[in-house]
Amino acid sequence: MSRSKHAVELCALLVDETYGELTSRIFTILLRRGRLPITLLAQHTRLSPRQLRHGLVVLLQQNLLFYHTDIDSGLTHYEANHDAAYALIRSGKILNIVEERFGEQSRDVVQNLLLLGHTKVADLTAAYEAQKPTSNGHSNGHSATNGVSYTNGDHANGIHDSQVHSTGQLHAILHQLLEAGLIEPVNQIMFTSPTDLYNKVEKELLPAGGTKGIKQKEELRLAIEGRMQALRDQRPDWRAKGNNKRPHNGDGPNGTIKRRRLSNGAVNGNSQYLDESIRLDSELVLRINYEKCNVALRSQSLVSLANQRIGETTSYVYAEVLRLIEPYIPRCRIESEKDSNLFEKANVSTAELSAVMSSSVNVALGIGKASKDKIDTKMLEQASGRKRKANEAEVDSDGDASSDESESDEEMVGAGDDEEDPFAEGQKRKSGQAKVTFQDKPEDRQSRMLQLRNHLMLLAADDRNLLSKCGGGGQGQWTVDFNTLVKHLREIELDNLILENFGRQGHRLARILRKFGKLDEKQLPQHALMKQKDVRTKMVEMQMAGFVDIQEVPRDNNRATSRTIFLWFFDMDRVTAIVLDNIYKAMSRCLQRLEVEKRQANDIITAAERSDVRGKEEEVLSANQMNQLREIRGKEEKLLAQVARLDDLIGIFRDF
Amino acid sequence: MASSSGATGPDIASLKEALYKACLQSPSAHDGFRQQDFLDFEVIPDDDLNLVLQVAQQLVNEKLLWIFNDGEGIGWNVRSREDAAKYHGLTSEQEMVYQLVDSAGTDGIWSKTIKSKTNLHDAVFRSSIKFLETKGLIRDMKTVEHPNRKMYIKSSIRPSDRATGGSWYTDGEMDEEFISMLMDVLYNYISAKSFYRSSSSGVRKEPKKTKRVSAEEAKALRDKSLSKPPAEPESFSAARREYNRLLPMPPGYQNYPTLSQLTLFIENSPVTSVTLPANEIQQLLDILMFDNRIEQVIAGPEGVAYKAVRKSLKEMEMEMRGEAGAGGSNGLTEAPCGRCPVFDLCEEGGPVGPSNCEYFEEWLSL
Repeated sequence: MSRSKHAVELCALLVDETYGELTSRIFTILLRRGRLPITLLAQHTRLSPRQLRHGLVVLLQQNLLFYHTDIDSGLTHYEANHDAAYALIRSGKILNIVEERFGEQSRDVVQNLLLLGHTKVADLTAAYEAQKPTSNGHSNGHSATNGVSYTNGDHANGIHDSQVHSTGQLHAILHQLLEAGLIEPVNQIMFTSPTDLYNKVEKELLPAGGTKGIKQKEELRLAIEGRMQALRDQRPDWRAKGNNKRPHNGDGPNGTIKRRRLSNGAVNGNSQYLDESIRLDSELVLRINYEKCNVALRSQSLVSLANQRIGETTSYVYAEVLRLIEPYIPRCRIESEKDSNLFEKANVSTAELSAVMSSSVNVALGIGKASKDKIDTKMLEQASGRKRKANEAEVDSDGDASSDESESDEEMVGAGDDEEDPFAEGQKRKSGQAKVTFQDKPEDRQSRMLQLRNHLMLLAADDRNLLSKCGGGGQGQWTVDFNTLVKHLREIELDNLILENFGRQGHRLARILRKFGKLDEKQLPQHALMKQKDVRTKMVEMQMAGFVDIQEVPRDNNRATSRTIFLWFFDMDRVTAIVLDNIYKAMSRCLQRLEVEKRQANDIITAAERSDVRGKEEEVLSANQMNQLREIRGKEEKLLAQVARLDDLIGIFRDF
Repeated sequence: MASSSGATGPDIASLKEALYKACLQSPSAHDGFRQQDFLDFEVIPDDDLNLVLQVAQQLVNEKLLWIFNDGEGIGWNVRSREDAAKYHGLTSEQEMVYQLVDSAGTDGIWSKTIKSKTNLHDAVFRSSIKFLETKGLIRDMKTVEHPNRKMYIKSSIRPSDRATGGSWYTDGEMDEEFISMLMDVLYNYISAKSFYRSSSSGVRKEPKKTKRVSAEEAKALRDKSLSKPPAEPESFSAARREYNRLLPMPPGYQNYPTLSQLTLFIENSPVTSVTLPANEIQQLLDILMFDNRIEQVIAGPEGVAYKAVRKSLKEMEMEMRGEAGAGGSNGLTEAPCGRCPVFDLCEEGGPVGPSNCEYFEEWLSL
């Protein structure tokens, strides 16, 4: 699949930024020219075979290339992997997520994995062993690496107390991450390009006589896709064999397993000492699972949507719901039949939620109060039932749900009182830690559950369908319809764009078109209550930008303007494609600008990176130099933050 | 025609009176009459069709009836004596024009339509119009649907709502000020009823960090909050307080305002003396929804009620500072590229490019 010019440009920039010029030269050639065997590659890049091989190794190590060896000729073709190249930009966000969920040590491990590409467990262990004395967790395997990550400008000064202290700990961390799916064992398929894989599978599955007719072809296509997915999912079993001391649920061991305090006293509240006895197969090769990371990123955007639309407390509840559902979702785009079965398991009951919900989030707050007679949840239930049917989602258990509703309606009024101290119970639990034990009385727990339910119902009642109810067990089963939600997310971002670029009127017109589909030019002013002249100006303005378009339907053969109906329309897919391309372009521009800025401040940067200056810049550099350094660091930070924000949009428009 | 049947002459005059009276009194007077209707009045002896036609023709000649032709055939409509009197003293051309304007009623008629229907010469047409205007029989009017058309209407009646555009138009111009003012009033009303205003500000404080915050973490934190200025200006913290105070109503809340409540509210409020019917309020509500300021909820006695969409923090802040502006924004629109006028041309090595971009210059030195 060929990508747009801007996407290619961006990928090349990213590879250049992360792995240096040699690799990016090869990668760019591959991006521009498609798949190439090594001889042609050498010709185009004008590199010596030695350099070329070196570069290819680096690229392969990072899974930036696909390769395919033809069985007959024995010739190997290389092909660029766009997605992996793009994923480089996400590294910062992935690190953030890992740190937030599993603590700093895990983040460190993931960071190493990011830098090293796919790695054997044994090598990773060795790297840590070797590193110990240097106390700097950021070795980078390749000379070309310049170590810029997108979270925090530079990480020259490692966090000293976040080091991994023993091999056992490393294994435990890896185990935890594997459980969560954020890293995955590597298999051969990952180095085969999707097209090659398709061809291969097609060859296997193609019936002897070939296919006839559209229907058979379609069947074959589906079969191939299913098989491809199966092949992709076929991963080496990473669970160490013969080790029956398997920690359950990825939550790590709790109390019963020995904890080792380490001599250097780096005990800081949330760093956890995991079981030393977990040993992974040292031949296992690991890499970051970007697809799963995208799921986590998606959850983040959804939570912020809930926060914006409903409120802070509810968004905490929502975050917890999403986290509970996440293990069932291997990737963001769920399409094939098999996956949707898998999806059905992805629900959570109020009771389950209440058990894991951190007690520091006071669910009694965050919802307004109203007298009982003003509340009637029945209507909501019926309506959501209708909506559900209309959406042709799960049509099951309708009656079940409503009967469950009625019993608790009376108690559901408002939510607790405002005066209660919400902070009494201490910090929010880090998810890696042991489960919160409930010491409260049963009735407290009961009322807490009801308050939780209130939040869940708010989420479900929201216009954007943040949550949908799918059953009555355990005080209500809840699930998330990601496809519609992501569509809403996209719409919101598009609306923002339009609002910002074309003002309130453009925004209004675009939304009208989205609701009505194709609309006659004469109808628009009536719906929008705007002057015909203004409408036309706005529409043309938006048409120039590619956001709306017009279709002419002549009423007779003459095609005279006066006898033609003009229909305006808003094509979501097309606009998304345009916006995506613009975002790619904007991202490359930011990175290019950064390059320019850095070149201008080259002197000061080299000065600051000298080994005798590093870490004590303030002492060595003059005031003037310090200012310059700060200025360039500030700019760098700004530009990278901007790139990261643009990446959020890419996530919404492309990946989620 | 009348002279040829001399014997029944006197008869016709009285029959004419009787038929006209019957027509006026008939409950279906403005639907028009067919031949059969005349027969049903039973004023014509022996259901003599010829006689009916004669009588009707007489009335038409006296302008007391006028002929129309719809899909179902020819029919007659009744006209009052005063209106009929206006036809006296008109030439046949003027009469034709006047008749067309008359039958167009409150919607008025386009001058071009008159011309094509009457097939009059331009000069004759214009003199007829002028004559009718000076006599005060017709006047020109404007319609909002086609503001450029020259329209005529009988001077005794007012143009219909369709032509004037209803309450939203003043003198044929869309009154945007009025509309947006009303929308703001509605929005504020709905907004006031959509949220619970908490007495204690802030739902949850940031958990206090007991661990030492290293330089890198501090940086990461700052990165997270990079979207807002490091030192919060007063307007921002005020907006944040207000933002955190707005709590959602419990699920199933029934007291969100409904259409009828809102109509009543506008009716009773001093903002406008014009009575706005429910459908016009609905129109405003639809637009508020298109603007993503309010949304429909399923609640209330009517089954549908309205609640305000929660504003973003940025929107609130801008409001506090008294700035008007669009609230939503994202990574693309805030960067120079998102609003760059020459984005399409931008290319490294081209006339404009990232290295010589003045927008970046400005943005980075902020």
